[in-house]
Amino acid sequence: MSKDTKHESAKLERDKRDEVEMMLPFYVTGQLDHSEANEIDEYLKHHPDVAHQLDLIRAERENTAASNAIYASRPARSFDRVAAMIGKTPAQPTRAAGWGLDWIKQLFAIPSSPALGFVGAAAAIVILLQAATIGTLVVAQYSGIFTGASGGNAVDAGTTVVVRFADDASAAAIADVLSGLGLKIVDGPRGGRLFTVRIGPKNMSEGERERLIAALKARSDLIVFVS
Amino acid sequence: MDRLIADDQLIARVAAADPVALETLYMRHQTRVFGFIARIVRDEAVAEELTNEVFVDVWKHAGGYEGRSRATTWLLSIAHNRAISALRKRREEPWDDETAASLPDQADDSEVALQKADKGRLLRRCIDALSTEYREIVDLVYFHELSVAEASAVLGIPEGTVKTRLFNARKRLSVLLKDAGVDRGWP
Repeated sequence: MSKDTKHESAKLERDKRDEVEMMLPFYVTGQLDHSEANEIDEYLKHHPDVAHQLDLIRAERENTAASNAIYASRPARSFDRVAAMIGKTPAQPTRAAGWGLDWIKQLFAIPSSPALGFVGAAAAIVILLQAATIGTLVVAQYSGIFTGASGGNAVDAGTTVVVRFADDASAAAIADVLSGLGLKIVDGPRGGRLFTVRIGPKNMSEGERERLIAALKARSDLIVFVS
Repeated sequence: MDRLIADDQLIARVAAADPVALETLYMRHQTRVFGFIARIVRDEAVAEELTNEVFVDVWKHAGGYEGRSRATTWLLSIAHNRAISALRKRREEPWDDETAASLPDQADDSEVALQKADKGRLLRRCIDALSTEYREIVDLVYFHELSVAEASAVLGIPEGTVKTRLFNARKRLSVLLKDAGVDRGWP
C-alpha cells in the first residue's frame, strides 16, 4: 500500500468515525431510521472504543432531562392572558386556577363553538378541579351541562352508558379517551362516582353501541366498569 | 394516536379563528414551550411572556402552517425565534459566540472532591454552563427528542450544521468537565 493510499485510507476512517460520532446522540434517542441505526450498530460492533461513548451520551441525556425538569413541573397557566392578547375574550375569574376550559369541554357535553365562547360556558358551570384526577373532581354546579350552557339548547341524551372511572385516572387521560371515541359525559358524578356518558343518538345501531362499549372496556387502566 | 383531535387539526381550526382550538393547543404545549424558552432566556418572567407571544403568533400565522413538520416542531421554531429575538434585544448574551459559556465556578479542593462524588450534578452544571447556542441544541435533541431534520427546522440551519453543532457542544462539555476536574476520556 503506497503512502498516499494509507493516508487516504486513514482519512476515510477518521471521516467515518466523525460521521458516526455525530449520529450517536440521535441513535441513543431513537431518532434514526432503520437503515441508519443498522449502520451504526454495525460500526459499533467493530469499534468498541466508540461504543464507550454511548454511556457518556446516556448520561448527558439523563442530566439534560434533569436540568429541564424544573420547568416541566411548572403548573399549567390559564389561557386568559393569551385570550386577552388575541382580543377574543376577557379574563374569566370563575375559571379554576391553572385549568383551561378545554378539559371541561372535552369531558362534558358543552358545545364548543366559538359563538358560545368562554363566557357562556364559564358562567353556566362552576367546576373545581381540585386535583388532576377524576377521583377528586368536584362538580359544584353543573346544570349548564344539560342545557348546552348557551341558553336553552338542550343536549340530546341519546344512548347512554354508566361509567365509573378509576380514581387515579387523570382528567386529561379521560378527556383524550372520550374525545377519541367522540363521547361526552352528560351526567355525574352520582353516588359511587358514576358518570353517564352519551355514546350516540337514540337510534344508534346495536353493533355500534357494542363497539363503543368494548372500546371503553378496553381502557381498563382508566375505566373501572361500563354498564 | 390517543388524541382524536390531532395538533395539526387544531391548527387548522385556529386558522379558521377558533379560539377554543388555540386554548387546547395552549394547554397541551405551554409547558414544553415555556421550558424551552426559559432555558434560552434564563428568566422565567420573560419566558412566561414570550410563551404567550408564541401562541399569539400561532393565532396569527396558523394559516401558514403546511403540516410538513410536526406541530411541536413548528411551535418550537416559533419559540426559538421569539427567544433569540428577545436575547438580541437584551444584548446580555452574545449569540453565535462559542466562547460565551461561563465556566463552572472555580472550586476549592474539597468542593472538587464533592463534585467528583456527584458527577451527575456536575454534568448538569456544565450543561447549564454551555453557551445558549450549544445548550439549545442539547435540549432539542436530548430532552425534546427531535430528529436531525426537526432540529434543522426549529433552528433554521442545515442538517449538517445540526450534527456538527451538537458534536461541538458535546466536545465543549468535555472541556468544561475537564476544567472542573473530570476527564471523561472523550474526545
